Amino acid sequence: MLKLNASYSKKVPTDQKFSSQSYLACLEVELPTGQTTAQLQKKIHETFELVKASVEEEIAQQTSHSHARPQPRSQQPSNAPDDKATNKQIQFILKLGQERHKALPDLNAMADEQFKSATIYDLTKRDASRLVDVLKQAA
Amino acid sequence: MKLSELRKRPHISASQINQLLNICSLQFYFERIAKLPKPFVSHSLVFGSAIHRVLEQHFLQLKAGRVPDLEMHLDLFSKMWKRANDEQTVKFGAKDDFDSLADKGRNMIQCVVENIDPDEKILSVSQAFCVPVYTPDGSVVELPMIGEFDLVVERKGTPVIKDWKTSAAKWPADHADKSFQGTVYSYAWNQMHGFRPPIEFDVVTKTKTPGYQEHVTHRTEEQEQRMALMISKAQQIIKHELFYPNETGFYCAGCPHATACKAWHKRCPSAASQAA
Repeated sequence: MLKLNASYSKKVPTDQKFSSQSYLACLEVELPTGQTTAQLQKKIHETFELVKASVEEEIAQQTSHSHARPQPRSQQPSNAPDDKATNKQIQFILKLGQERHKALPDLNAMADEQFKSATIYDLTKRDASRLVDVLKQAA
Repeated sequence: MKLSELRKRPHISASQINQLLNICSLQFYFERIAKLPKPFVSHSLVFGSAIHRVLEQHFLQLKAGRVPDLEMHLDLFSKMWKRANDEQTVKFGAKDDFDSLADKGRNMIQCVVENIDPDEKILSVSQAFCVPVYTPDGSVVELPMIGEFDLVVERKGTPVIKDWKTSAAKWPADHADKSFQGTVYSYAWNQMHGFRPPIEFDVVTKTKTPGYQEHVTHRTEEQEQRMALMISKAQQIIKHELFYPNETGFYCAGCPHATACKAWHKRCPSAASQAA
């Protein structure tokens, strides 16, 4: 039996100066033996992407919550990041959609119905996280 | 959402891939990664852009049910063409200059307008799109594909995606069938709506008397899979920085990065390390 450990960590700055917060996720999965190199590489890639996307999603969710709190003007970043969902978040939504046999029009319809966004690319970071939760529950 | 808004997101576009794979990967690097300043812009780029913006205004009027004022739109082209030439250094080829293209542009717009089919219903003008790219093994490419349909019309109950092209000469018969841009449009529409519409390239030539051609083409699933694989390979080229000059390229003559290109082999870090 082969074991695969995939981990991904990222530090993001907090509201306080010279301070950051770490996010780390580790995932251990067992792989069946007898797979080709290409199959193993694909599984490693998918697992790592899953861990990475999960961490990014968690950060996006936390960030959107903290942004929802009013900040003193002096602490607001001068160039506030765009609030649109990241490509990583959308990639994760599409992957979940694939697993649930939902094509882009289905996902766009969900984004429209639940979050009043014309497409998944118009979602905010927070709504993208919520759509991930909805899709996970639909499993 | 407007194309300019969508472009804020890291993305792939048909023009990026075309520049990287078909024109010159080193030009791609200089323009999009190193972001070198351009000492000049090609006249065809500026000219094509002015024609597009004027046609866009004309079709927006038609879509809104108004009768467009052609004279006003021809004057709009003249103003846009002049302003574009005032604001930047435009490089012209041997056959054309500012004045000749100022006249030709007006004639070309008139030619397109004369060829509008009144039976076609305009569904959208300059419709931006953003869609995911799936590689042949089913995984999703991180960067989405972004672009814009010049015009979408309904012809006999079927949507047709139209793209306006200004060209020095008439297109060969199979040019539209090989167009990477055509495949991207078909793929994007299929992703959004679940079917592949006809793609039509409306080509107007920069000849003294403009010529007008409509090239209709269709794409298959296999062609889209090939497109996705090309995009996947293009991303590997970018990731591993495999940029090199296309020495016999058709586009070298009008390339704004010729100076940087000539010095490339002396400054390329990988070349230096190999020599050491």
